[in-house]
Amino acid sequence: MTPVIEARGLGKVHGSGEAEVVALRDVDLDLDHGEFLAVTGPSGCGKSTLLNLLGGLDRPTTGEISLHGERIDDAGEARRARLRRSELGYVFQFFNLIDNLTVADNVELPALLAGVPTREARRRAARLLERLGLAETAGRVPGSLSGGQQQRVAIARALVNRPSVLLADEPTGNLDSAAAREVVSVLRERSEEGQAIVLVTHDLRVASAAHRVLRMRDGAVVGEADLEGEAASGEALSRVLPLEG
Amino acid sequence: MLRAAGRLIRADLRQRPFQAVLTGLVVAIAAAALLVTLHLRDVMSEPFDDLMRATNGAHVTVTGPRDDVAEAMTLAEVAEAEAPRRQLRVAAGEQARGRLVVSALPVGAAVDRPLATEGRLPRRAGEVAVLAPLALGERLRPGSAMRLGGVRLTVVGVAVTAIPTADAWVVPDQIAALTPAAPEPGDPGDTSATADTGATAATAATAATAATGATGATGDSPVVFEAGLRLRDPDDADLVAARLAARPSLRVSDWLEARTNFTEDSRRNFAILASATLLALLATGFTLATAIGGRAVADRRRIGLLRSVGVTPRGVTAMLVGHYLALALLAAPFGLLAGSLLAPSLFDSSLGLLGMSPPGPPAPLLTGLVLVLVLVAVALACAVPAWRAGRLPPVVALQPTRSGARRASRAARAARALRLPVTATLGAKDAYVRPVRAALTVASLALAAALVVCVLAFEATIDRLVANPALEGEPWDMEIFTDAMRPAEVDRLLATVDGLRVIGHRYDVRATAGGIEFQGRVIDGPPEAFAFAVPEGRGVRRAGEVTLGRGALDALGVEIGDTVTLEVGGRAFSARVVGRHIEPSDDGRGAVTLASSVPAAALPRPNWILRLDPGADTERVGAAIERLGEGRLLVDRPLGSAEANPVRLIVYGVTALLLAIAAVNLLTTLLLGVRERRRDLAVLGAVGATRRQLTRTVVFGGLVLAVPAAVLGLPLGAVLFTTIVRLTDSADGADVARLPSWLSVALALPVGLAAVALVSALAAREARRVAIASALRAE
Repeated sequence: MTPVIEARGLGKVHGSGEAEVVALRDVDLDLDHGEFLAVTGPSGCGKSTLLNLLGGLDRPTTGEISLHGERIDDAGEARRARLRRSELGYVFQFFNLIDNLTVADNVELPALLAGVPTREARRRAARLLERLGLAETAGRVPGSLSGGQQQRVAIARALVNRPSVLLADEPTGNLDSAAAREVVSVLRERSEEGQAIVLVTHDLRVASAAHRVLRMRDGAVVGEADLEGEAASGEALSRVLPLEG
Repeated sequence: MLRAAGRLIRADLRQRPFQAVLTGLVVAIAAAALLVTLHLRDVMSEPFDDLMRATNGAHVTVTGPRDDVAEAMTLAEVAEAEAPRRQLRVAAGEQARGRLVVSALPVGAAVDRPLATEGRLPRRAGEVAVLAPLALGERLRPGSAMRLGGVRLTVVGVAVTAIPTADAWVVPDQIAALTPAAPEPGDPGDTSATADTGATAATAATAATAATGATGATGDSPVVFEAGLRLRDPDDADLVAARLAARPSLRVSDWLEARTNFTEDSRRNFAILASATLLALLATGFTLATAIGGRAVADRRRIGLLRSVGVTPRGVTAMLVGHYLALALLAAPFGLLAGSLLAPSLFDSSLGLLGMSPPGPPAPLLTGLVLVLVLVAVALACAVPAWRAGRLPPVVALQPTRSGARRASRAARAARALRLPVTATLGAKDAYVRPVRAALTVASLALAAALVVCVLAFEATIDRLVANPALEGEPWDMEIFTDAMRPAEVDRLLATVDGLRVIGHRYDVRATAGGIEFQGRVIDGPPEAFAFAVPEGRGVRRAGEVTLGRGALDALGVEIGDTVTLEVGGRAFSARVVGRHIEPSDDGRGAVTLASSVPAAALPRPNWILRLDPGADTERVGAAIERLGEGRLLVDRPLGSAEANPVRLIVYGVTALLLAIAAVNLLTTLLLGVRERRRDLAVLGAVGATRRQLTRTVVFGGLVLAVPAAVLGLPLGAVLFTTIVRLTDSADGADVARLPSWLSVALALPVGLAAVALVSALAAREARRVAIASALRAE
């Protein structure tokens, strides 16, 4: 079966001359349907760069990326935008909700941008908010919610167009441990429902929720652990920890 | 500290050159507008009186036979006069063509001594000074040669007088050596037959005095004498002129009439320009406040950093104000230069009446004063937002996350309620996210919209005037002047012209009633063919009826239905006031009646007023009359809409300036919005908004600012226009002015909105350029 995402020889260089920084070098990656992949590593190791390339927010300097077998790394900006709203859902560390729109408006936004009729967009948003336990917050602005709630709203927004892949960049990085648990729990639920997820985190406890963990350093993948079937178990954590060592 | 500020300012200008150019452009426009206005004020601050003082100008000038002129000088009211000066009509050759009136000017002349604006007055034979408009038209300068009366003379100066009665001046010895022009049938012996010399002020003055009736025939000799009379009481000039004009041998002009002609025009121009400049300065203030307010918000982090390294709140305020002052110092000189170049062309039409050359560029002192005023205005506009920015606590300013909105955008909610597309919702939300800035931008756009309404109203009014000359007190298609033919001869000649439907006579007289003097227009012809515009009551239909202008009604204290006793040429008659007609001259102090109402002996020589057959070509008929008159008939054709109003340049110029300022303000607001919402735009991109959708978002943001501006600007424009009209023509302005039609407004609206969309699209380019990954990484 064709992987949802397939990346080969990905490389990214920022700047030029003396200011040149190699952010990513020769990364290969496959993501299967329903797979929950965590990418971990220290700050500056290239995790977020990898996620940005997979999400079509940035273009690789070298290498190829395919989505459902079709290359997207050479796609124009308009096509990549369409892919972002139909196939890819993005969750950020700082939530990135639009602060003067209501929670419901934020969640509906990608659907409306994709041309989904208003009523249908509203229905989808309401259902997602309900499932994420946020139904009562629909009319509030994001600033009035807790960090965990805001991140759940962001996840709802990322899922509203039923994407093939959910890309999450340090979704718990700005949350306390209780809120982080809430968010990880939501991601795991989505994963169990068959949603493919790429999660970037430097928090091993969060990473241990995934089926598979990639370890990165200095822009390259330096290790991989398959945790499928052992997620969240103490044994899994102990197997992941040495990766950081 | 100063060095640090300088570095920051330089870095900022390098970093955001486009915004700096926009702000500089607004400052330059404001500086140009202010300089032009203040210069105009200087130039127009009683320039006629200045010229009267500089030339020791005559309050009354009389031209005619020596004995009659000498007798006029003995009137009790005359305080000062010099020996009559000989005037000669001569043929002109070389550069100046045709025939000119040359006056003998004694070297030591004290009364009505021309003022040399270039070079000097003649001191010896062989030298000549020429009237400024003639010099301008014929490109004569000191040093030029010209042939007058068969003698080659050197132009030594260009000069002006308050009441131009000659085209050139030579010393008395020289005038005797000039050969008079061969008498022609059309020579009246005064200066009026010099129409073929081109547009000279002497010629224009003659036409003007012919129109006022303060003239008399002066025989056929090419040699006449002229004297300028200084009166004991200058305010008596009109009465003295009226008495002298009763003598058929004399041609008379008075300074009050000349001053009225000049100051009415200049006052109107100044009122329009001053109003527009005020609006421009206001809009500039809005723009600067928008720019610096936005800068303070966008630069929170930088301000926080400055505060954290020890810069005091006052220091931050000073730095921000200093930044804009530095920008103003760089930009204002461009505006001052543009204003200096623009000013003379704006003054041409007004000063032409005086026979003055356009003034030079504004004085350095005035330019310096404007620079200081602009800097003060910039400092004031920046002070409040800069002060607020300075007070921002460093901790708050350095916070990486935003404080977050307390409530959802009402504009977005309204857009959703109206079922507008999602891009419109986002645009509306962003446009009003900073209410003060949005209000300033809406205000600036509203001012521009108001001025556009003024322009439309101005055009509608001009079209109305052109279509209906009665609104300018000239209810005829064409008017003929002549002193060179007997009236019966003119009547016979006109009867042979094709295309004329009605031929009438118009007598311009000075009428008095209750000791008040005003202009009388006596019509001899079918009243329905020459119907004046009468907004109250009705027009005259039969003998014994009169209509008065608003000024005359007010001055006499009479109402429609009253009977007034009028005196014309020393003969009194009674007439019933049947209406108020639109009287554009002399503040509405005018009367219209039929010739059958006035004792025949009181009527002077007529002008001829003509109604053409429907569809007749005015130009063709006018040319035919001129041809038949062999140069002895002066045909006054109605003005076309393009030439109907010399103020058009000012109105269009200031409207263009205000539109430019409004565009800059809108662009500044939208660019600041894009900059502040960079992260939101990146988020939109991340969740799948295409670049086209981002463009639509920004463009719609511009449009939702423009819509309330139009709603405010349309009535504001109507009020502004009627106010300006009232200021410039208190008597009949309200009756003459016309607001633009709904159709023209309806057509202008989409054009305006398209312009707004175009300007917004420029800001949208910035939104499209936001790199999603780096914008989100930089949070």
